[in-house]
Amino acid sequence: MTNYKSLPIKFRELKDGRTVISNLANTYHVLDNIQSLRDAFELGQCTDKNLLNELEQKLFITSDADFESKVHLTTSAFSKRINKDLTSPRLIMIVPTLRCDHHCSYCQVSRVNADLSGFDLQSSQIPSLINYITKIEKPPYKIEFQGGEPLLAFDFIQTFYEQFEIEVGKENFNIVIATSLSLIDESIINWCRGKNVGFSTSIDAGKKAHNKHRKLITKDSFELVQKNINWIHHELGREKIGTVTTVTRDGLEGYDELVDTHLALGLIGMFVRPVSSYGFAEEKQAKDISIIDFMVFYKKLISRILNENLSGTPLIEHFLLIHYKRLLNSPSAAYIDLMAPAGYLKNSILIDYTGNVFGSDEARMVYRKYGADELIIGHINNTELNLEHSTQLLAHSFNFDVPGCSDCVYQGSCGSDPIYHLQDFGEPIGDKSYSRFCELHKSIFDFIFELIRDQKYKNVLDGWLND
Amino acid sequence: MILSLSKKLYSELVFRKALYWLKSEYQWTMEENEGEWLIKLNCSQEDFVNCNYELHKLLNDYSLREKIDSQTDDLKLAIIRKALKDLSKE
Repeated sequence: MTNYKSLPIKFRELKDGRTVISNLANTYHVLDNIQSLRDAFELGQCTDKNLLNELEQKLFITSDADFESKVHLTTSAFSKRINKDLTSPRLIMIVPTLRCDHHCSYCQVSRVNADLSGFDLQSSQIPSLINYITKIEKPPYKIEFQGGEPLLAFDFIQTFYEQFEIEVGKENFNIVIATSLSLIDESIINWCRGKNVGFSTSIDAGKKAHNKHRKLITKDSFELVQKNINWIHHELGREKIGTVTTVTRDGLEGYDELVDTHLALGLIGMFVRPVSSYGFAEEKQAKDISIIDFMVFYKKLISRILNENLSGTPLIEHFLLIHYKRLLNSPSAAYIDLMAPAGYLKNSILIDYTGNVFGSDEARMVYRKYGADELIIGHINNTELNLEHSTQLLAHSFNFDVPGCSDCVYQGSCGSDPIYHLQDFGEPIGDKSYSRFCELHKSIFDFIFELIRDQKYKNVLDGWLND
Repeated sequence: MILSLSKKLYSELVFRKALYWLKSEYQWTMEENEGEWLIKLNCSQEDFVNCNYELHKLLNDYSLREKIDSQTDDLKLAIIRKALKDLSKE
């Protein structure tokens, strides 16, 4: 095919000179250099038949004869992608208490001391809570208990589980408790046996960084989390615990230690991201680590992980994997930060210890810091929702017509975060040239194209898709 | 220091998109006369050279986008409209 028409594309020149192109169907192709782009799309002079065939198959160009069908396929793929982000299931987060035994330097919600009263959801509110959840969401329900430290309110979690099981049936829900694990004990372990309950915990990059930022009076948060992960593995099973890593300036040299810690614990997955700038973490830590700093750390970390895989040791880094899935349009690529329109409200809600309902965990963090009442969308005692403000936020979260996103090659895989931009810029779109959100995700997508140039690393990432 | 660029070379949209992504350390104000865009920069000579380089790279990038998009912009809008219309029916 030498006579062809271009279909709409976006492009980005990578640091090595190669040029990534994408289209509304969210397919990608990497051209050797910017001249190839000019030849193929500006001048219409590309004569490389193999390249033209590939570009045609991926809906970047079309012959006159196939024009209508190619446009139809592009429209359908674009529509399907948005629909997927619109209809992904909703995560329901519950904050049974704001109390916490830790005093983390980057706490986003400004937790309160463990012995304070007035910061807990009451068990008497559980029927209203269940009524609310079953009214706004369909089964199967994905519930996550957040904090504070949820294990300080374990009685509440137990009672909720028992009443929720009666209401919706055991097969229709799954619970994750996001906890430091410092308070887990034998009675909790025994209660969890055979139940739809798992744990998500934090391991920061290295013992020093972990114990410095995740402060316990006993100064042994790192040791406790390791001991208790082992305990959960042994008593409940390996699949019952996952980890999240928050990278701060103190952890920037801890990439090897982080991998060693996970391998020593027999963990085969990790999720690593920089400390976020929401709520009270904004001033404390987030501005102390740039995305450039984080990416230097992250590239070393991923290099180690990929080489572990090549040596036969399975270990998946899920933050990278979710970005890879988004580039591939994988059906299981739902991740709240990488959705457009945003995952806020339609894919997540959070019910805090007061019974107030928010569109996301980040929204309650911003509310806690700034007291922005319009971020409260309801209360569990009243199924009426105040969606006026949230609808506005969502309406501004389609990224195909947003300044800074409209020309971006990663637009179809990336997301939109109106709450982050509301916090940092005072409005939901923000200036992407100053946006940490934009810089982070664009850097990760660039990094993936850097990685998959090497077939052996691409094979590892492709292998992760099946796990 | 002032950077002047001919309006014949770049459209206003290309010019503004390039400025949007210019690094934040370059503080600029924009003015125009009949034939030129004028960027006033408050910086050292060295920064001026770097800024000039970066701005031209961005202008080149957005100029190419403008040329490529001019062939397909109407089609892009039609596809997006059709897809959103189809979604609203579901």
